[in-house]
Amino acid sequence: MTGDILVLAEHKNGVLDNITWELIGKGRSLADQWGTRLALLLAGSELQTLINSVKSSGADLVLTVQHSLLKDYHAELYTAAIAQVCQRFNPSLVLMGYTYLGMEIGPAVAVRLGGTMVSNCSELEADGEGLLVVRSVFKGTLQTKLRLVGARPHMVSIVKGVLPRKALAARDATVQSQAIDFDSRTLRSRILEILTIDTGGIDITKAKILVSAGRGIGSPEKIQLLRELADALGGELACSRPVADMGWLPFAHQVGISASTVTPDVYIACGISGASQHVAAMRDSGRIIAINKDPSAPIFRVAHYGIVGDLLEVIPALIKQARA
Amino acid sequence: MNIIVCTKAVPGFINKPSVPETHDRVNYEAGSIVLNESDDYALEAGIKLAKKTGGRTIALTCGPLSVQKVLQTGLGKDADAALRVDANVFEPAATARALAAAIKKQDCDLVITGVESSDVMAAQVGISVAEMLGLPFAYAVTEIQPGEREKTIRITKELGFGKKQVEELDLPALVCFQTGTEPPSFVPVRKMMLAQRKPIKTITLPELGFGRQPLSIEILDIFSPNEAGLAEIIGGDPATQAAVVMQKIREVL
Repeated sequence: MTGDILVLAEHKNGVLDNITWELIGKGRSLADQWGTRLALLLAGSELQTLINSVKSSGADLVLTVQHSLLKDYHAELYTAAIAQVCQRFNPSLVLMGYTYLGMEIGPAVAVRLGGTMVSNCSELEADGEGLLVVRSVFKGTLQTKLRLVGARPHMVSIVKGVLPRKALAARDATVQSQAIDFDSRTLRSRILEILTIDTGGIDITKAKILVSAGRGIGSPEKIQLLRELADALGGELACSRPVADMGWLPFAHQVGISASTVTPDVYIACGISGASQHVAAMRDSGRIIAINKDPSAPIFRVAHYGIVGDLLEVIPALIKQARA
Repeated sequence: MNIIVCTKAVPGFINKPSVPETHDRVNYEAGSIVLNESDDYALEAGIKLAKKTGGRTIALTCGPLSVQKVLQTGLGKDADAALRVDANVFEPAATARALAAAIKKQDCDLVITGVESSDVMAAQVGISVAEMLGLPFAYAVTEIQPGEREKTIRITKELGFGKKQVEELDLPALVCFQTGTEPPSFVPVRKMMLAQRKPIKTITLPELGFGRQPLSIEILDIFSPNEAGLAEIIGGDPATQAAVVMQKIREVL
């Protein structure tokens, strides 16, 4: 007998994140297959608008934890809240995003509950009463298929954007408020400040065309070449994390879950391998064109068009075409 | 502040991946063995903070003798001691249990790990170790400083979407360090040679009180996902490729 399924919701400014809708879709089909309930867990300080927006989302139950201390994201408190709800609700399966929240809190909750966690999954399917998942390994060049055989709850974090966002039949979910036992005096971590990184007025999220540089460009001098291409196309420059880390371009140009999420009409990925944290933030672009010398680079799995080749040959040819 | 940095040796590239009948690991031929990228940043941050606060750093890893090189790199970067848990485990939970048990035997104020290893890509071990040891934690940390109050640290961590959060954590604590804008240093050859002469302590799983551990995750298969790749690969010489790409771009604008 399989127990209930719980989805950990993520939300910002009163709006549910896409990853949560994707998880609800998957959770619903597993719940139907197993004949169990699907519950959504919402934690935060002022949840009423959100509760209204998810009441008919396809979940059977909406569990809510409202507390003034949960206004800002506080890992220690969120871990305690989620673990306490799980201990009471006793789900067989907990689904969450492979996001900052899933990475920071997921393993802690799994250990606290004595469950089995598998992270960074791109596929998930029922296997009788158990689960099979597919996840990337070795820099994303290979994938493994796994079966979860350890203690319940099974906790699975899923990469953003890989599951289809389904339109589900509306159902009127029961809303249950969950009381949480917090003692703010015993907290061992305190938020001192929340910083928004200064982007100096650069906003790559509005560009229609992005020419994006990855570690594979090899040296900072190549940025100039990509800048020429961006200019010729009337686009902007973007980059992956290592390029910003190395100081080749300022943070304002960075695409990834730590920085900006972009959806231009055209995204040209130059020497970008396609780490999941990068892909999650650009996969909804209209046309993705990847140029990389490694044919096994994971970027070719999300690109619409690919060129396996040397940037130093391909980019000048593209500039010439764009100016023609 | 005494600091333990958890490091991992990862393959630069691999050949012939396969899953054995035990379903507990992926076997492969490693092209080279390197220190995992975010662990390199973790080491530098740990060593710097220990020096600043008059403490010691221990570089820790879990793996067979063949991964010892990463500890020598740690010693070359001025870690005071190195410790290897002699175990050949693949599952993140098993790695976390082994590391947590080894850390428990040390005198330590702060544990630093990287955010994610490039081979297993689970981003799970650091936070699991923290919870197993009952320590406060922070993930995706880009800065660590001694706190204003005694027995605390002040950290900056990423929240995503260009936001960061500054937190104060009570010690002992654990943080998972993210790659950042200050590149890790290369160890000069001479220092690396000296480091290779320094002792590396080892401890076995039975010494840490572990018997045979049951699997919680079975690895069924490993495969190349490119077969199901979406991209239409554009062939020809660069001029032809560029012409096709420009046509595709003009179609959507």
